[in-house]
Amino acid sequence: MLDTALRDGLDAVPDAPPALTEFLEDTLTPPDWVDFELVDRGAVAWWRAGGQLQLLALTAGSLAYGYSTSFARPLLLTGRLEQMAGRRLGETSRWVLQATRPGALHPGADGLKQTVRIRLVHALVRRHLRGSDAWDTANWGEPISVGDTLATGIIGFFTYPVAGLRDLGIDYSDDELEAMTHQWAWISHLMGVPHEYLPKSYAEAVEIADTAAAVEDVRIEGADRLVHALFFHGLVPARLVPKPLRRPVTALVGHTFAAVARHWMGPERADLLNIPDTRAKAVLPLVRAAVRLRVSARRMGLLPSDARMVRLELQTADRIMDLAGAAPPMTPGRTAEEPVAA
Amino acid sequence: MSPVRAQPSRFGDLDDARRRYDPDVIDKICRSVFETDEAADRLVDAFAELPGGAGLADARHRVA
Repeated sequence: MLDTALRDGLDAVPDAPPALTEFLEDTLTPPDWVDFELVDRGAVAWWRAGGQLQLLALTAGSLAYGYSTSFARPLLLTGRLEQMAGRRLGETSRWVLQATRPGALHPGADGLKQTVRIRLVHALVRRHLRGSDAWDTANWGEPISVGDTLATGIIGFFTYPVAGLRDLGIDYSDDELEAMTHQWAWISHLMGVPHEYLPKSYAEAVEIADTAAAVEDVRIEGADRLVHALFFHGLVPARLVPKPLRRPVTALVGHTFAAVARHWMGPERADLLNIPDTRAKAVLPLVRAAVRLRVSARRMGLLPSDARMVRLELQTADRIMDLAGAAPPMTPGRTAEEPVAA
Repeated sequence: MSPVRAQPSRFGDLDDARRRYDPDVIDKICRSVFETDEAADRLVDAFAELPGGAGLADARHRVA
C-alpha cells in the first residue's frame, strides 16, 4: 500500500486509511520551505569529498557516533551484534547512496521513497519496543524518538562527519555548508522530524550538536560491543578478501577506521567505547596529505567539474556496493528479519 | 507537547549544560526525546487494524 502510494500517488490506493494520507502529506506535496535546488547543491557538496572519504565519514563518523548514543539501544536489543554488523553497514551505506545523490530527494525519486520506507521501519520498531519490558521509557525516552531521529540526521549523518572531513582537510565553503544543512534538514523531515526542530542554518545545526553533546550521557551499556562489531566484523566483506588474508586485512582495516573514530570523538568518549589507542593513528597524516593533494588539484582546475566528479564517485560507490554484496536498505516488509530480543 | 520529565538517566549534568548553552535549546532537546513521529505511529496502528493485521503481516517482529 505504501509502495503503491509512493509510486503512483494516493489516488492509486482507493482503500488507503486516512493515516496513510497524513503520513505521506509532506512527501507527496513538499512544504514551501523545501528548496530542491539547494538540496541538490548540498548533494554535490556532500559527494565531492569522494567515495572513500564518505565511507570513512559514514563508519568512523556517523555510525561510530550513532552507536554511542541512545539510538544504539534498539540495535543492542537485537543481539547478534557481530553477525548483523556487516548487513547493517551495507543497508545504511545503500540508503546513504540512494538518499544523498543529486535529485534523490525530489518527489517521486528513489532516495525520497527509501527514506520514507525507513521512517515506517522506525515506527514499526518503536511499536514493538513500546510493548516490550526491555524498554525503559522513563529513563531512555521514547524508542527512536523525534530527538533521536533529529540527532541521527543532523548530527550523526551531517555535522559530526562533516567536522571530521574538515579536520582531514576538505574545504567546504559557507554556501556548501548551508546547502548540506538544508539537504539534511529535508532528509530529517522525511524521517519524521517536525519542521520546528530543524536547523535553518549551519550555525544552528552546530548549536544543536554542541548542546546535545552537553545534554546526553553517552554511557550506553553495550555500545562498546556494537562499535567493536562495526569495525572488526562489519567493514571487510568476506567475499572480497581471500580466506588466508581475511584475518589480517580485517584487523588492519578495523584498527585504521577505529583510529580515525577515536581521533574524531576524542579520547574520553573513545575510552568509554573501548576504541583502542593504537599505532594505526599514524594513518591520519597520510590521509590528510592525500586530501590536501585532491583539494589543491581541484583548486587548480585539474579535476573535472564537481558535478562530473560526483557522478563518477557515485558510479564507483554503486559498483563497490554491488561487489561487496551490500544488503539493500531496510524496508517495512523486512523488519522481521532483524528480531528485537525483549 | 509533552512536559519535560525529571532527569531521566539518558541525560547528563543538565545544570552544567544550562550554564554553557541556550536553555531553550536544551529544553527542546530534552522534550524531543519524549516525542515520537505520531503520523507514522498512527499509520502503523492503522495497518495493524487492517483485516487479519494484513498491513503488518510481513513486518511483525519476532520476539527472541
